[in-house]
Formats: sequence, structure tokens, C-alpha cells
Amino acid sequence: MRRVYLDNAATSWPKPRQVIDAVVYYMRDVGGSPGRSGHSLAVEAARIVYDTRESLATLFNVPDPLSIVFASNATAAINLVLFGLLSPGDHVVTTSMEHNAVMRPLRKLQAKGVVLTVVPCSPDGRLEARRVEQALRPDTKLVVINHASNVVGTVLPIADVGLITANRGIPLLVDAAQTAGTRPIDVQRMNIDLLAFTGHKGLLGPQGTGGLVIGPRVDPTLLPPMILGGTGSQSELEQQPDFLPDRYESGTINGPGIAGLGAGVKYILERGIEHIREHETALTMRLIQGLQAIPGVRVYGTSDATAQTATVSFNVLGLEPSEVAQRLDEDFGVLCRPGLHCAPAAHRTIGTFPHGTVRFGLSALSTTKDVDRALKAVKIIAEGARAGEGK
Amino acid sequence: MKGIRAKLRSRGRQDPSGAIAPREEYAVFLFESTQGAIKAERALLRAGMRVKLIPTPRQLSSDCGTALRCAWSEADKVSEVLREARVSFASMHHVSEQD
Repeated sequence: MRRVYLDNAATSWPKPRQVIDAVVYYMRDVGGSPGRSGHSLAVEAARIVYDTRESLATLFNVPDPLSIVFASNATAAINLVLFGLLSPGDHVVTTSMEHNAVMRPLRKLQAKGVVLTVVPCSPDGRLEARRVEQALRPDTKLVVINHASNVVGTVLPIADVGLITANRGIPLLVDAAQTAGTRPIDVQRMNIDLLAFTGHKGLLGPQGTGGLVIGPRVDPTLLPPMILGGTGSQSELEQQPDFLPDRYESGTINGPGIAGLGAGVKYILERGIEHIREHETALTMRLIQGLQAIPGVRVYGTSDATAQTATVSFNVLGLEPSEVAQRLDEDFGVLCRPGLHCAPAAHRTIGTFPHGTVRFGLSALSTTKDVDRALKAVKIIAEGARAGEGK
Repeated sequence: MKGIRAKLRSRGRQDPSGAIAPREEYAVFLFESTQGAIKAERALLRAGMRVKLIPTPRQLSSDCGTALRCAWSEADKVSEVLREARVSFASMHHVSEQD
């Protein structure tokens, strides 16, 4: 049975062939330690790492590629910012649609005396920027919001929030785990001070890659690194350097992964982010309309494919999300993710806590055929559930 | 980026000692980080300059393990290109070939 992979909101798959080739090339032909040694293979490794930074800088419109620091994923980048910038007594604003990558660090910090305001979103996941403005206080140190929900795909008005935070001089941290590589992100135009991204979703790279864009309004000396150690620079000093990217990249970085990430970003730049968005929007529209046409299926979110990413949550009346997912996998080869998606706050907001939803996540490499096969499978499962109810 | 790598290799084949004859004088640029040195190399190659990344000479007390070398006669032009490309360097040194 040919599998239909619809778990791209967790990890995109398949990857473009260039991504696999880049990882293999690095492992087989380069292999040196980027930023260490100075011999020709170490320098070649450092070039590949730099080229990935440069491609990301082009994609996100970052003026200086060296202000992009690599981390193992978006979660690591978010933790770096939250634990680095927030101290007891500080006020921080977030939304009710956040992933646990944001919520868990914030709840931990709240227990230590950080004051937290969670701005409520509507049941379809939308945020009104003015509600963020109303939540700001003179002692607000940071606003942290996701660019799009990992549960229903609803896109939040980052540029509107960015205008508000920039006017007040409050740093804005954006969790772009669900949008990097699938929607245009311009850190300058959107006034994003800190952009956390992951490499293994929309950027089409390997797992274990990601990072943080550190904007010019953030002073690195006021943002301590979480991990300290060797950087290949200032080796005569026993203190951590202040400059980027070395300040936040202690220890040997994931060279093969970053090589693959670079190839993923180049694929996106060559295909064009707008082209990818149009492709995904068309498939998402087909998916939403197809699901809504099946009796007994409820779709969550805005139901507007242009206002969301290619991630769609739904439930089948009379069945638990886990039952639906198991049947999709075993009987139809359709792979998806049921449950709470590491985002209990978002599920409370859309009214699906604690049961959760079934989540289909498409990617730049998904096809109409994938969508149609998934729809056919859901239709059969939903019909079976209705027949079972009738007995 | 493949193009830049290819250019580096072909230059090496044409002239094994870099672009420079023995006993020539060099300018060596030091950077805070290796990634800064790579950024400089990318900017200079794009501007058509002949430069080479080298392990930082020990006597120059390095900021990082990789330095950038060019002919001494090109030093001003290299500094100018780096300034225009907004690439900062930690220091620049005059080095003569010893042998």
C-alpha cells in the first residue's frame, strides 16, 4: 500500500532530493569541523555552514547572515530567549494559541515570579492585535507569539503586532516553526526582533536543525547563552565571546544537518515562497472543502485556506481522534497526528480539549492525489461510524 | 556557491602558491569568528578579488583559527570591498615571506 504522509506539521517528508544529496556530500566528502582547525576541509565545512546562513538571511530578509545562530530546533531557540531575557518581576505577553515550546518555559518562569499575560484568541484561532496592545504594561519585557498555530494553522497578524511592539520598544519573539519556508517572513518589514525557526518542517531540512534570528534591537550582552563552551574563537580566553554567531554556538554544530537545511532553503528560494504558498493554499482549500462535505466530520479553524497554513484539524463524530488515526494508517496508509499536538492551550481555545483532533498537515511536496486519497479514507471511516451509531 | 568553490580550486591549480610569487608581501586579515572570515571571503570573491583563507599565523595572536590573505598591494582594495560589504575584521597585518 502506497503511503500518504500527512504529518508535515510535525516533520516534513519526503525531502527534496537535493537535501539528501547535501547531507551525503557533507558526510562523505567534507566532514571537517566548521570553525575549528583551519585546514581545507574545516574551511569547506565552515563555507557550507555560512552558505546556509546566507540562504536563510535571503529567505527572512535578515541584513547580516552572522546574526542567524543555529540551534537544534525552534524549541531550543525559544528557550534561549525566554530564559535569557525574563527575570522574576518581569512581565511577558503571549497568546492562548501557543505550543508547549512557548507555554512550558513560560509556566516555569511564572512559577519563579515572572508575570504572564495570556491574550485570548477566538475559537477559530484568530488574534486581534489590539488585544495584545491592551495587555502591554510599562514593565513588559517581551511579547512572544506564534506565526501560525500548529493545531489549526491559523496565521496570526505578526506585522500588526510588530508595529505595536516596535513603537513601544518591546522586543517581539516570533515562533515560526509552522511558517518558515511556507509563508513569506520579512523580519525587517514585520518588526520581528527574534525569530525562532526549525529546519525540519517547512524548510524541508533534517531533524535537529533550526535557529534564531537576532535583530539589531537586541543587545547580545543582555541575552546570555544557555550553553557555554568552545567556539573555535578567542581560544586564549576562558570567558564566552560576545559576538555573533559564536556567542550562542558553543560545541561542534550539526554540520551534516545544516548542509541539508541549506539545500532545503535553496530549494524554497528557487521554487519561490509565493509559489509554494499558492500550491499549499490550493491543496488546503481542496482538503477543507472535501472534509466539510463528509457528513459527520467537523473541521476546526477559520475554514479559509488563505488565512491559514496547510494544517487542518478535524474530528469524526462518534470516534476518538486516535481511533480515526489508527484506521487511517492501518486500513488506508494515511499517516497523520491525532491528539493534543503538544498544544493544550490551543485546544482549549478551539474547544477540543482534552480529546483533541485529527490533524492533516500538507507540505510543498504534497499532491492533489494525496489529498483525494485522504478524503476518500475519511469518508469511508465516517460512513462506518454513522452506520455503527444507527445500530 | 558551487561556482565559487570551483573558482578557488582552479586558481590553486594555475598557481600553487596562491596568486602570489615567493618572497612577496602579504596582508593578513583577522576576524572575530571563522564565519566572519567566510563572509569576507564570499564578499571578496564576488567582487573579483584574489584572496585565500589560511590558518591564522601563530605570531599574529589570533581571534579565530582562520585568516584571510591577499597580496600586500591589494590590501587597500580588500579593505574597501569589505567596508562596502559591511564585513568587519578584527585587524590587518603586514607579513613578509620569510624564506
